[in-house]
Formats: sequence, C-alpha cells, structure tokens
Amino acid sequence: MMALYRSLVYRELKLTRKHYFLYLVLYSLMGLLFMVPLVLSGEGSFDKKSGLSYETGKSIIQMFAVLLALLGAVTSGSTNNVQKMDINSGWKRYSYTLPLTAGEKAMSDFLLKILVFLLFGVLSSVFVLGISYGSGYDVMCFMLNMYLIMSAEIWIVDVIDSGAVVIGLNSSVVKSVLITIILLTAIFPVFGINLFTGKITNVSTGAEYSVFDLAERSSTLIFSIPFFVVVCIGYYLIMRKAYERREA
Amino acid sequence: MGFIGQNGAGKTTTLHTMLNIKKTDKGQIKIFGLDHAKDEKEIKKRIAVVFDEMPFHDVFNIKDISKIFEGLYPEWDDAQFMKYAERFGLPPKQKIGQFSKGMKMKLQIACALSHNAELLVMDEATAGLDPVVRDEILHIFMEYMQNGERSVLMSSHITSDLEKIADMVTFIDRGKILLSGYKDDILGSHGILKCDKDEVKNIDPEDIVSIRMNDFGAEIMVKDRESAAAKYRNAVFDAAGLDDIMVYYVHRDEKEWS
Repeated sequence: MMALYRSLVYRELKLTRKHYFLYLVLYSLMGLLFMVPLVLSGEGSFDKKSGLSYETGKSIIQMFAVLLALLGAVTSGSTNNVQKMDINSGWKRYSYTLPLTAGEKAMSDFLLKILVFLLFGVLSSVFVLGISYGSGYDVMCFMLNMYLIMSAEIWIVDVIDSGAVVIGLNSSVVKSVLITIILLTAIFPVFGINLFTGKITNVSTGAEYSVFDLAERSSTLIFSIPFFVVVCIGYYLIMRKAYERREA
Repeated sequence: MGFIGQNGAGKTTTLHTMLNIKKTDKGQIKIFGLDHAKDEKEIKKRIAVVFDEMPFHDVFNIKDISKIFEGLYPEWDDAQFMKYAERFGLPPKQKIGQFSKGMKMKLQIACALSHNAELLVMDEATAGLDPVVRDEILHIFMEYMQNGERSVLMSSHITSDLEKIADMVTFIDRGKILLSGYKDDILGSHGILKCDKDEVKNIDPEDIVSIRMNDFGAEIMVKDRESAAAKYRNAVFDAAGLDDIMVYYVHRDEKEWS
C-alpha cells in the first residue's frame, strides 16, 4: 500500500513541483522580509523602537501574521491543476485501466495537498516564531488559527473546482457558482460572521467579537482544527465520488 | 483475437465498456470469469492496455515512468521494463515529450508487457505508425504470446496487421457482432464469386452476403465458398481477405452496391 501511494504522490509531485517551487520561493522571500528586520532589531523591541502603543503595535504584527497565513493557505491550498493535466494528457482515461480504486486516487490527491499544507504550515510557524521573538508579541496561536481556517476555505473552493473537472463539468459554470457563493458569503452574515466588518455575533447573546480577538485565543484551536479536519474528510469523499463516476 | 469493424462500429466503445471506463446500460461483462465492475481491481492487475494515444505526461522520462508503475502493479518487473526500453531504443533520461509517435507507442507497449499481464488489450495501437514500426511491434506481440498463457485482444481497422498475428477474429458493425471465429476458418469459408450482371439472378440469395456491381460485371461475397463452388461450377472464385469481408458485410443490407 505504501509503494502504491509513494508512486502516486511521486507522479503528482513531479507534475506540480515547478508550481509549488515558485510559490515556495515567493512565500519564503515574503516571510523573510517580515521576519528578518524584526529579528535583527533585537528581542521584543518593536513597540519600544517604533513608539507605537501596545495595541497598535500588536495590530501591525497581527497583520503580518494574517498575511503569512493567508498567502500560505492560498499557495498551498489552491488548485494545482493535476486533474486538468491528467485529462489533457489522457492519463485520466488510462488510469481507469490500472489497478487503482477511486479511493486510492482521491487519497493520493489528498496526500499531496496535505504535504504541501504541512510544509507551508511549518514555514509559516518558523517565520511567526521569528516575528514573535523580534516584536515581543506572541502571534503563533493567532497565525495557526488563521492558517487552518483560511486553508479550509481554500480547500473547499479547490474541491469544488477539482471535483467538477474530474466529472467533466464545464469550468465556467463552476467558476460562476464559486463566485456567487463567495459574493453571497460576503454580503450576508453567515452563521453570525460578517466578512465585511470582520465581526462575529453570538447568536444567543447578541454580543459582538472581533475575528482577530477570537483568533488569538488558544481555545479557538478547538474549533479551527476540527473544522480543517472535517474539510479534509470532505475533500477526500468528494474527490473519491468524482473518480467513481464513469463516462455515459 | 482481432477486433475489427469500420470507424464508428463500436470497437472503442466495447473496449471502454469492458474496461469500465464507460458505464453499462444493462447486461454483465465477465473477464477471467470475474465481474468487470465489482472485481475491477483484481482484473486490472491481470490486464494491460495500450491506447492509440500516449497517456503519459510529456515532462516524464523513462525512469519516472518506471518509478510510477512499480508501485501500481504488484508484479511490475523493473528489469524487464528497462530491457524493453533498451531494446526499443528509448533513452532513459530524455523527456517523453521529445519522443516520436513510434517511440511513444513503444513506451506504452513496454509498460504493458512489464507486469506479466495475461491479457493485453489494444485499441487501434498500430494506427498512425509506419509499416516498419508496425511490423516490429507485431513481432513483439507474437513473442509475448509464445508461452501460450497470454492473449491479445487487438482492435484495429488495419486488417493486414490482424491477418499477420490473429488466431481469431471478431467483426462488429453498429455495435453488433456479425462474425466471430478462427481467422483461417473465416477466410477459408468466404469467397468472391465473379460473374456477369445478368447471372446474378441465378445465385441463391441465401449464399450472398452482398453484391458489388461494376462496369465489368458483379462481384458477390459468398458465405460458404466450398458449397458455392459446387453449386455454380462455371463461376470464378477469388479468395477474400479480411478487408473484403468487412466491406461486403458493411453493405449487407443494401445487397447490391457499387
């Protein structure tokens, strides 16, 4: 079984390595740009040297963490186009003649994505460790929550896109659906979250919280980790279903 | 077994349905006595497929293909694969995108022959190749079948290839099997009776597959050459090739055509 997945992941990695390598270089450059000046300026010196208030300094450092989390999530989670390449090369049709189940194909797609997710997660954590050391603000938990939730959202978009490609749906139709979903999510508060204001409303008490306040709490990991795990399971199940489909 | 029919006859659809690439509307398909959908994985370990077009990405080279396939098939024989690659003159480090059409086809065949498959399924695999490469490939297939435990199902409309290597032939048209049996029996039983146009009425319609009219007379494909020769003693008979049989059977409903 290990040999099978090693072969499948090797194939996908070989196809996407340039795509990921480019993202990795750009992401590393950005991370270093954020981290190095703070580390070089000395431990915990950000608010002292900048003359900013504690809250303003914290907001700026949180923005660095948000950018790292967002770009890490987008670069690791967005579609790598393996499914499109497989259709264009004829591999998709050929793969049905190989001793592979739909579950194994879906698992190999998932394994590659999770590997890249972990790689960017580790990189983000290293950069955030440096930023926390230099600035004196601990934003590790904040970044992890943001990274998990944003990755989950990007994975949802990717699984709709990739699943549609595998079952042969018109990609312009899929893109229209995705754009509509994103617009609707932004315009209307969904589950008490307003994406325009960044406020979360507790439906029972009516109290409002800032997304940033919630993200810096370690207790939020209890929500963000299971949320990401559920999306991972959903990703696998949807891709498996897509691979099970046969031409009419 | 050669699987022949004109373009659009349903050869590829039949093979794709067998391989569970296409869904079946009804009925059941058994390969090695196993259900083609339920026992798909088990069946696919024991078969190999060669398509008319290269299914591998251009960025891979021979070594990549070897690494990919060794995990996919439990019986993958890497040494065998490298031996075929060397024999076919496939450079191990060159990208597949730089291969010629013949080299790409040879690569597919090398993959197909390197995991001890019991059944080799080929869909128009020799189409578009020059006669030299086709002959080389047919020779390899004959070698592969020599141990008597392996079979090749080869769909093609290049009947000369099948005449060279097939023991059995199945001819389909509009999705239905018209003829199936040993190639030599089919070739031996069919014949082309040549006569004048006004002699056509003397031929029993039961003996006729179809009649081709031309300026010089009529050419009639008969199903049983031996009995027709006994019946129509003055007629001239020519041997029929698979091409002739295919053409005359395609026109079977028209009876007379030109």
